[in-house]
Amino acid sequence: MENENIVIKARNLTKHFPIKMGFMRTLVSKETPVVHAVDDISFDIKREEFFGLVGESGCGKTTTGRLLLRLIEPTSGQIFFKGMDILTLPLEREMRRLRRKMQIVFQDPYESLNPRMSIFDIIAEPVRIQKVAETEEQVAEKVAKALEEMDLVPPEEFMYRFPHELSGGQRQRVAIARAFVLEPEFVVADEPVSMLDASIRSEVAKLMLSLVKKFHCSFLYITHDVALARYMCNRIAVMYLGKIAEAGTSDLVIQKPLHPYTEALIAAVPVPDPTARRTEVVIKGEVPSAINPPTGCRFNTRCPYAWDVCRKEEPPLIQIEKDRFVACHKYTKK
Amino acid sequence: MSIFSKEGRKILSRRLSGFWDEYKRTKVGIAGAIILIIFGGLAIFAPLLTPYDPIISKRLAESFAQPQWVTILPHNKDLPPTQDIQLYWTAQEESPVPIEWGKRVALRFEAATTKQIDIRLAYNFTYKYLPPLSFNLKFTLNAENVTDMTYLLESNLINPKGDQLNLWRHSGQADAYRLIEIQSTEYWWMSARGYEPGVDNVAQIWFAQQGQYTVTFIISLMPKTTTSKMNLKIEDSTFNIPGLIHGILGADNEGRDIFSQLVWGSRISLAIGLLSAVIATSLGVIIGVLAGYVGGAVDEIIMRIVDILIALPVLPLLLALVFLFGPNVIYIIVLIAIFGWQGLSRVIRSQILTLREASFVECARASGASKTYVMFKHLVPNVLPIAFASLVLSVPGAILTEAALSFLGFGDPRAATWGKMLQSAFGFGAFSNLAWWWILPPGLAITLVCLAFVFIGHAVDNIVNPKLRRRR
Amino acid sequence: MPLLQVENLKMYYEVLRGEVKAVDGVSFSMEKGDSLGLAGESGCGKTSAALAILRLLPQNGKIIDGKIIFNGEDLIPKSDDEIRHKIRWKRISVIFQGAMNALHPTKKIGVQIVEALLLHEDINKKGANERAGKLLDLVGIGASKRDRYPHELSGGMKQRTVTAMALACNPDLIIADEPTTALDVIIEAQVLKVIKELQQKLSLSMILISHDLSMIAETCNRVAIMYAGKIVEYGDIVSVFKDSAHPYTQKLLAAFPSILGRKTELASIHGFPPDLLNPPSGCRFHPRCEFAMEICKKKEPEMLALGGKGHYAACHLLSR
Repeated sequence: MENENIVIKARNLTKHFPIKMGFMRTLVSKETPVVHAVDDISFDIKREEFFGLVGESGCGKTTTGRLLLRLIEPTSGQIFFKGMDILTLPLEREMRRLRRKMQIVFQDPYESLNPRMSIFDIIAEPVRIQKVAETEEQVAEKVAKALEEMDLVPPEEFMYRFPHELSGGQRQRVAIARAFVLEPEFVVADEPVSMLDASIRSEVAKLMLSLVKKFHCSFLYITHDVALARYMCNRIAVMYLGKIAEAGTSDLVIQKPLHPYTEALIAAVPVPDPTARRTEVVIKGEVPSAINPPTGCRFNTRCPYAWDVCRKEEPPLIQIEKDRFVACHKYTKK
Repeated sequence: MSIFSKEGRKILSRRLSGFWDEYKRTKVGIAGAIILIIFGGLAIFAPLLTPYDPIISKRLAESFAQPQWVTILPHNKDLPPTQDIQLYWTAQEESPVPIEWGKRVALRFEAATTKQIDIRLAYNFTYKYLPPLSFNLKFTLNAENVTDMTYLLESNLINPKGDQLNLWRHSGQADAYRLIEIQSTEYWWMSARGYEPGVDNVAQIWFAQQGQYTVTFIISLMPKTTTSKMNLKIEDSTFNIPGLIHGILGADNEGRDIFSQLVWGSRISLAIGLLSAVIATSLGVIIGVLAGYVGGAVDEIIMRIVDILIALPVLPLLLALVFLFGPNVIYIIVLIAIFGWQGLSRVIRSQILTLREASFVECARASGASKTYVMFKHLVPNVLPIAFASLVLSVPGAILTEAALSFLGFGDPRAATWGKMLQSAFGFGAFSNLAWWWILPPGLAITLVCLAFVFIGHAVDNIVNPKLRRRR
Repeated sequence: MPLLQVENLKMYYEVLRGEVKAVDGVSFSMEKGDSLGLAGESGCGKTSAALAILRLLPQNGKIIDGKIIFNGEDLIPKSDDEIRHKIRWKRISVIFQGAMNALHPTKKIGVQIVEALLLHEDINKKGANERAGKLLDLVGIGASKRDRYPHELSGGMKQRTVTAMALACNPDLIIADEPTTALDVIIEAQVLKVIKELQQKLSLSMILISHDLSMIAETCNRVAIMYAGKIVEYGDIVSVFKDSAHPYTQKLLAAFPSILGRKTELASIHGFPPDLLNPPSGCRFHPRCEFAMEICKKKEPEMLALGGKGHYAACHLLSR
């Protein structure tokens, strides 16, 4: 793959969260138990791409998003932004400067805006922290522009309001405006529309799609809504218990899933058509604990095809075709 | 965003008007605000509202004089108010010697003969009340250039029946400059006139009737030679009858105006209460933010200190500390504050712990914010509303603690607070004299002011505390 | 005789500034064995309607008008005591939104089900224990887990526990308010499967309240689409979803992406739901409707029957 075309490269990214134990247990046990949130994942995100990270709760997708922006430090692995290893950058200066190019949008439109700050201050915050404007007028210009891009017009109507005076959809637009006021190149969107009503959801989703072309940026779109991921993303990666199960173009992964987990996931997604005939969901049980993940392939405890090798060896993520990856012994055996 | 920019002012005004909109809907909030405005007004305009000095002006009325408005009740109708009768002497007949009379009596006597000259001055007034408990006569006597003569001065009181009581008598042959004051309750004065001190009450006997009373001043000049002369001045003569009713709130045991005490006391009680509360709240916020944001060992240490302090008994400790350091207003304020920040620090700390994890904090960090930026721009502003509510709610406690200290005698003796009023009332016999007008006002004032702050704090808390917000 | 017939139900919330007309003239009916989906976005009144049926209203909620005829009897005139002792949990039970968080954290789940049974049924402890075990089997958790505490169970299992509690007294009707919102996709599918099986086994009637039209499509045979306190379209699910008559229904359906079929343009609706203190005049959807006509601003449309199979919609476009 051409290097200029890749914005984000994650290689063997791992994050283990240590668990706080009681004082007595720390004396007795030999090693600290950890939550295996993200385990050795690798993927690329191209320029002007809408990349989806799909999975159920606890699969590690949210942690991955935060790792890419270095809001949490990984336990091991590498992250490259436009070829630059961001983990080697000193936090105080270079990393802080780099944050102009990498931003995040959160799920909860109520929590991601400081209720005591005006809309103006909220959107102006990145500008002020990064000191990219010299005068207050310049700050005001940038804020007004950001509001206009998000279709919150006229900007003066919104600048002096407070978050509680806006609807959920409007708040989310403000959050996106804040993320885009510095014209970033890469944005992590963590379930940005899941708390919005259906009719508002699509508006905000379409807004984000339009920003890709306008700002020439890439999105990492984290979601559990597979149907929406199909609609919005060029490529998606499906995560399960900290690992990538499958990755590829969204249409192919969703319509012709390779990994048994993806199959089960797709089969379980409801569709708004009462006449559609669906295959049955055959997997039972619950997601195992991330503190003690199963040995071998992590899905083996629930997989309908599990063989012996699945219980012993972890399948590596291999490339089946151009832009199609899967981690399953069904395909490595051959 | 600075409040000096146009945007800043607009945002500030929206914030304030939003708050006021909600506040004015609460009934208790308005009630509290009204009470506070009243007492605040009393405190601020104290010099304008009180004609008397609360501590210095004594004997404005009889001890334990009741408030003036008790005359509404029929059996109190004729209680006498304080009468400060200025004696404008008038001559009864044509005076043989040129004499200037009025407020100031002045005469220059140059003897032509050795005949005795008598001058009689008098002043009439009406007394239409119940008998008072005492009266007194004051004037300045100035006899100058007395040469070769004797003078005899005398003052009497004549009641409506015509009976005469001698008030004062003096004969002299030399210069004299004296301030004369006679009290109807004074031991020697009473016994010289045949009354038994402690048993009889001269005022009650002599003012038993309502009607016309006369005070006379008789000057007898007895020259020895034809060159005898003297100058005599009698000035500032007043006949004072301390009333049994006085002012808006009556008088204390020394005849001081209680209303003045109450009004001036409001200044210092409110000041002490507010200052202590402000110091305590500031401490609580700073320590709470530190513990919550820095975390780790610092957090643990601070919280254990808080635990210990909370377990200590406040009032006994305060008494001991005031005893140690001395009853100075500054020390009292600081000490009350030292015992008042612990609860708030815990609340602030837990708020900070929650806020630390909020998405908007993460967004700020994602934009490159430093830890200090997050603390001052995001965390502290979000806990300020709770701190403000706590500030308002802790004022009553501070006021009550100070009142308790003063009542127990540990207050600053120079500070005339409501607590001190209660202490004086208790110590000087208000209870045994049933002087409710001395006991109730400070007690009620403390109660009302504390209630006002509780109401206001409650209303503010309902608005700013995210958990208590009503559904809009 | 239909199991439940709601006629012109009006329920308002009294707030400082006036009355929030949360449910404003809602009518629908259900036969035994139906599962009716009550669909709509937040604030449309679907939860309020369910609360009104169960009379679980907050202090400021008042039923102004209408009839709730359940098994031939109108529930509205009944006293609070009657509803509590005879109807709630025994004939109509409920699974609330986030009910899995309402389980008592320090009581075993078996005990909680037994409590519900002892409270409502004339049964002794032994019988209750047996029944609790059977219920846990029924929902797929298994009687062996009756001694677990709620924190030992996953989200899906907690939801199924709550479902078991709702079924404890063999009610005729279950009202489930967003039963799977907090659950992951696969668990959601499992829970829905259990619910569908129960429906068949016990001939259970169900009202399923949700904003997720996909979920309703999978589980219900009839649906009522609500908007701003009113039902705008209602009837057999295939007709409503495939032959939507009301513009809101059409737009709403188009706002749900599907993983099957071709990728279609996602629809969105401009603006946001109206303030129910002062709802718009005439048809409440007219400010956001692209087909709005003059009459839509003035007159409220009536519910008209379309075709056969009990499909109704309230829109002026239909009367032309």
